[in-house]
Amino acid sequence: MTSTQVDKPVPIVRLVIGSAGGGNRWLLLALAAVFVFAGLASVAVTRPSQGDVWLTFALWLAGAAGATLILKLRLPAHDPLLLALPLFLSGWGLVAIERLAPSFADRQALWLVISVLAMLAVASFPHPLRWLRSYRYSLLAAALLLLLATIALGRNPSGFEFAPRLWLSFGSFYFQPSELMKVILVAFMATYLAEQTVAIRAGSEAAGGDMAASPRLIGPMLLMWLLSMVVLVWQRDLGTAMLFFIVFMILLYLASGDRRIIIGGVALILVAGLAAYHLFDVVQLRVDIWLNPWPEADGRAYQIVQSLMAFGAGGIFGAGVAQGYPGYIPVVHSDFVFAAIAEEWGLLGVIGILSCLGVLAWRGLSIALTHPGAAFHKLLAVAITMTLLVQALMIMAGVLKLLPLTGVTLPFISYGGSSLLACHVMIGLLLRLSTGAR
Amino acid sequence: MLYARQIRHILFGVLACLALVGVSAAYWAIAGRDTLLLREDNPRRIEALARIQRGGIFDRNSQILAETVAADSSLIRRYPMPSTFSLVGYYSLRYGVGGAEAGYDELLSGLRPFESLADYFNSQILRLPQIGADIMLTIDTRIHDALADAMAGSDGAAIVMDAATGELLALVSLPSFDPNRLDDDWSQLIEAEGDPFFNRALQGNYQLGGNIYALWLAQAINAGFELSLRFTGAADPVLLDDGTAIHCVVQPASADLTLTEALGHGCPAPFKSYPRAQSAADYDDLISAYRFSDPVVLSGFPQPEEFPPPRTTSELEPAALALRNILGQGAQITTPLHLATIIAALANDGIAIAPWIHLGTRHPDSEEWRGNPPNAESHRMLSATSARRMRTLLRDTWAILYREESDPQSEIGGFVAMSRSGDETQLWLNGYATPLGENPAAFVILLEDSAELPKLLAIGDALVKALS
Repeated sequence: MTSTQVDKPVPIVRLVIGSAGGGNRWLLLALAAVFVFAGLASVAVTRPSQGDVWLTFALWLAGAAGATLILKLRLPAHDPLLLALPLFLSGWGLVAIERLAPSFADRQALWLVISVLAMLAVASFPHPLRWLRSYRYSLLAAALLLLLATIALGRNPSGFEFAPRLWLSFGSFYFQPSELMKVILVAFMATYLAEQTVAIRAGSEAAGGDMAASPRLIGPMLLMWLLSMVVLVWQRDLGTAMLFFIVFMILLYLASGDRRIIIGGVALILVAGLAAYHLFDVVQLRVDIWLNPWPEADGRAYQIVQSLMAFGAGGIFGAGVAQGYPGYIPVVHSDFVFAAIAEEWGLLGVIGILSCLGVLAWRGLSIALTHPGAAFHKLLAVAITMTLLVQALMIMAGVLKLLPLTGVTLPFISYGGSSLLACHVMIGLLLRLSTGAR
Repeated sequence: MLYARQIRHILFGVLACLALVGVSAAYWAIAGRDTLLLREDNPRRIEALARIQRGGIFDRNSQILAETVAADSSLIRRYPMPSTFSLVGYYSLRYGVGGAEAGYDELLSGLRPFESLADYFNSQILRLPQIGADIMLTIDTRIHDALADAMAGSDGAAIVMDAATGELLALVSLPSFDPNRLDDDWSQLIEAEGDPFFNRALQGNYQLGGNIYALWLAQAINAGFELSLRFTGAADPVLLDDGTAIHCVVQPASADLTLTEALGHGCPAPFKSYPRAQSAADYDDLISAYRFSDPVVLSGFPQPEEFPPPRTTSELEPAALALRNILGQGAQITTPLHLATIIAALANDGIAIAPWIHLGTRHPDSEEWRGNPPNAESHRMLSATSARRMRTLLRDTWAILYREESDPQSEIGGFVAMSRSGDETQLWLNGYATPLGENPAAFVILLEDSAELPKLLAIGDALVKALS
């Protein structure tokens, strides 16, 4: 790799689709548009008034086509799959929300437009990665302040007294700072570990080759664990706490190359989980119904049991869009949208989502593998990819009773403006990284 | 390359986790599907049932007995013929299914194996609503109405069947319920005295009682017994081992009666003295000939309930048991349906045809009724000669009952009987009537109250009028 290549961004990965640029990205967009149109049309025929549905489609199409065009012009060397997949999943999410919670669909479509604009801003404006590195402490401090503000000023859009107050409200507008925190924290972690990689490895050598004994390794690991515990204790946000900690463990493993980090991380999660089980009712409830939901199928475990029934009802081919009964799952448009997709699109729909996420993981990690830049870029690509993937795995495993429910959203698909915005900002960074930019 | 090995490990780990999620989803969508869908607390099960366009139930003259109609945005089941409620049963998303609705549930709800790829595509891919077939029953609503009107206010059962074909023309059980008001009435119905959901015609098990006298008379004919022989003290009650007195149902004017007259009055004493009845072997032959050990049932409908005999043979002295057996108060029990099959055999030259009720089916994609093959199951219960002789004698007993002159041209015959089952006493009116130019119709009418003889005779009268 020469310096000339670095100065002039070039595609890092030659894709089967998109390596030739131009036409293929429009083909991907057209395929996604056909799918979203068919889904929304299926929803529209069940409605007396169809205007809102087509407005949603128009907003999605405008956002998707605009993003494709702008990125083609401003960032021609980007990985087209990294744009097409989030747009496709977001469109699928809009179909699901139009179907499950029509009154929220307009707001979600608006959030999607905002999110796409933010993604374009991050991807196409000059030097976003340099900013993230240079102002990491300021950004982290601002994000932490916002997070702390939720302790005093937090609200829950549902209005329920005992629901977690993770949002800040500005009139009817709600924003979840932990989503912003997610973006800033992964960038901060990548920056920190990139700077410490040499020291970590040197420390390991000083410790006789035992990297796990290095304070530069154990210190941040415990600090991150403590931060996650703070989030868990103060906000009762088990999902975000788990997500932060798991992603950090992965990055630490990446920086150190020591597999014992993963084992130690799992052990710490188990310890924290055990403590949380005894300390917090909400955690105890989630673990209890995870272990055996059936005796309380009509009570506390109603949500998870209905979720599993949705998978059963969907079978292989699904009940068809707007033909199933996912409405029996409480909060289906947010945490349980994956179960709704299983019911109406069937196992084929589930495999479709998993395939998209698998390709997203492959493309994101491929950037880290082949990026010509320094450790920061590789770590950032892994951190973003894993944040999206771990979050998706946590909620999908939760609705399938593989893990206790953690209350996080399914990236790009679930209802939630803050989540959609954070995910698109992260995709914007990945798109930027996919060009080989430093 | 920096981090290359670790990144590959992470990618492998992520893909493995995604695969695990996929396998788990496949488990619930395929392997665990039936378990989930069949759970009682699965609301989707109820939703799926609510979408079924259930077929209609019709009587033999195309009178609607049950139909599915659209109401607002849902489908409801409507039952327009009150006299057939106990037979037709009910179909409720909340309370399940009963009666003919249960017996023909698969046909009515359109449940059937996929017959073609298009069938599978329509059901599993397009999820087109499930449409059930219409079914036609052998029932004649006109006869049902006449019986239900005449029996109103009483508990009991009535069966009318075509003796030559086995087609059931009426199957009444009282008390009954209104399936149109099940949601409103359910809690009262399940607590109600007399159990309205219990179909006495099909499920009721009763002591044979005085019905056995007709079988002894047929046996006497077969054995060449001199029927003109009179028995003294024929009107006297007979005391059982527990002190229960078995009386005549209709008090005779004379104390000396023939076996035929004793049957006409429902008097036990002459049968107690009938020599052939004293033989245990003859009793066993009688029970065997009329197949009481293999009771007649209507496939798909509720089966007779288990009924313990009043006393086991080991608890009774042999003589006491023998007396009970002679009078139909021993171990032998019967259902009204089984008894109707026997009466039909008497009216059909001794050949018993298994009763059946499903006349035809009209599938959703057809306008034509497809006839159900008639029930070919038959067996001989007694010789044709004996049966014809019995038919003649039953004309005489009918005349005794209705205090008429015996008419050799009459095509109506029958007898009355009484039985004691547990602490309750039942009255029976069994016989046949042959409408002009048609097959003989055998009937069994049961009232669960021994004081209702006039009403029983009025019911018989109403039935004969309906049949003619």
